[in-house]
Amino acid sequence: MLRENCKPFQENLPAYSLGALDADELAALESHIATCEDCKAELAEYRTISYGLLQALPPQAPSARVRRYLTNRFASKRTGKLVPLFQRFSLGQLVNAFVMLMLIVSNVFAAMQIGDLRQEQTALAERLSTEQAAIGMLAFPNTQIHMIDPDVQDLTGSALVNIDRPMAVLLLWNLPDLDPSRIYQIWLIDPSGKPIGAGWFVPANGQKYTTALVQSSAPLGDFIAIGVTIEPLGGSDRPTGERLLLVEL
Amino acid sequence: MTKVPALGYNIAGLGELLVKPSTDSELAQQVARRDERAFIALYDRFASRVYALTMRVLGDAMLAEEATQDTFLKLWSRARQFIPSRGELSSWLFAIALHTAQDRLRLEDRRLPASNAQDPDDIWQVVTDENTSGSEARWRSLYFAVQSLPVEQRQLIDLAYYKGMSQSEIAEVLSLPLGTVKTRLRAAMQSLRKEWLDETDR
Repeated sequence: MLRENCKPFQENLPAYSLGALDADELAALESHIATCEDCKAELAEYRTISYGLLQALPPQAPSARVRRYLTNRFASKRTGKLVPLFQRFSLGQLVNAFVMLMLIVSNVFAAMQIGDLRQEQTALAERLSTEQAAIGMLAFPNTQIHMIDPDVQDLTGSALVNIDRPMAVLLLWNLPDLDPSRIYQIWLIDPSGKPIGAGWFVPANGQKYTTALVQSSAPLGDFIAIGVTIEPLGGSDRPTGERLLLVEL
Repeated sequence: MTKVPALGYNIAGLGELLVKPSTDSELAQQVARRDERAFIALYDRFASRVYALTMRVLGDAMLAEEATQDTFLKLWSRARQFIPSRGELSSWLFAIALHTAQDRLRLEDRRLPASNAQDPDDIWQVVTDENTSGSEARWRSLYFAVQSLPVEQRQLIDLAYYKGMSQSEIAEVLSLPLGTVKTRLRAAMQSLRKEWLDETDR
């Protein structure tokens, strides 16, 4: 590009770097810069200055209120990380966790007593391994508990989520029974809002309590939410049915 | 303090190496993974400069604090959008701060029409590492270079950049011919380029 042709555009580069160019001159300049290496290079220099202007101010500390607000915002949102256990939890919370563990164990025993053990065995083995996975997650740092946001009455529970690993388990109480032609499908929602299939489950026979392993190929920290919807047997490519719950991460 | 030739670092300094402070990019990526401690670490690193910038734009402590807060909340929700290879975290963060403060300014002072300010994401992608890895001294010298500009030029930098006004808006507010505004603004930037950029590039 001849520098002569550049002159009218060159003159506008400083204003452009400051974001002060009027709309009528903006389009012409931008299409020129797209093809002119010289102007691009000169613009980069002016941008260094405009960037510097953002920094070239004597630092001033804001009041402690701002930091406090930002810190408290997180404390009220989450229910508490599991590790390090004894530093983060009160006695009451530890008792609750213990009770939950005992309930898991007692549910397993109850299931063993009710009905034909042989028929239950496969389902039971799956559930045991899901629950073992849940307990195993307690050992990892960065495992978090999130309360679920249910869309049906009486449903409660939580999600154990590890943000560094592709590991999550749903622990649910009072899951409504399902028509045999339907399943509960799990979705992991990526930052753009796209739901990605992450496995499915059905209510445990006659049990108030169900666990489900979330199948992910990426660390859970890559997603912004977990959702569960009702889908036909075999699952769907994308959510088509009613939503059961949502967990915001 | 013996140097280990094969390894190339001081034995005494090994302790420091093991707890090497994270870079801004590393912290940002941890924030994207919802690491709250990394988020607070970034706040502690940048709050004073973000606040200084929002104060410059808004001129009011309460508004500036709210804009600072909003800037960091945006950092939290947009951390996943930050791509280290595209530029420095600081330029991205300060661009967000500038636009957040300017939006608030417009809200508070409805006389100012909305300007066609660039998308903050565009600003930091052009600024390369070598131009921004300057030290505190470098920014201080720019500050003094701006302070030593003639007052009418300094005023234009303030209105155009910190207040986010376009050249025609400035011409109207100051009752100056548009051509004068353009010439002065250009002269100011060329002056800074000569006095500061060329000087510090040595």
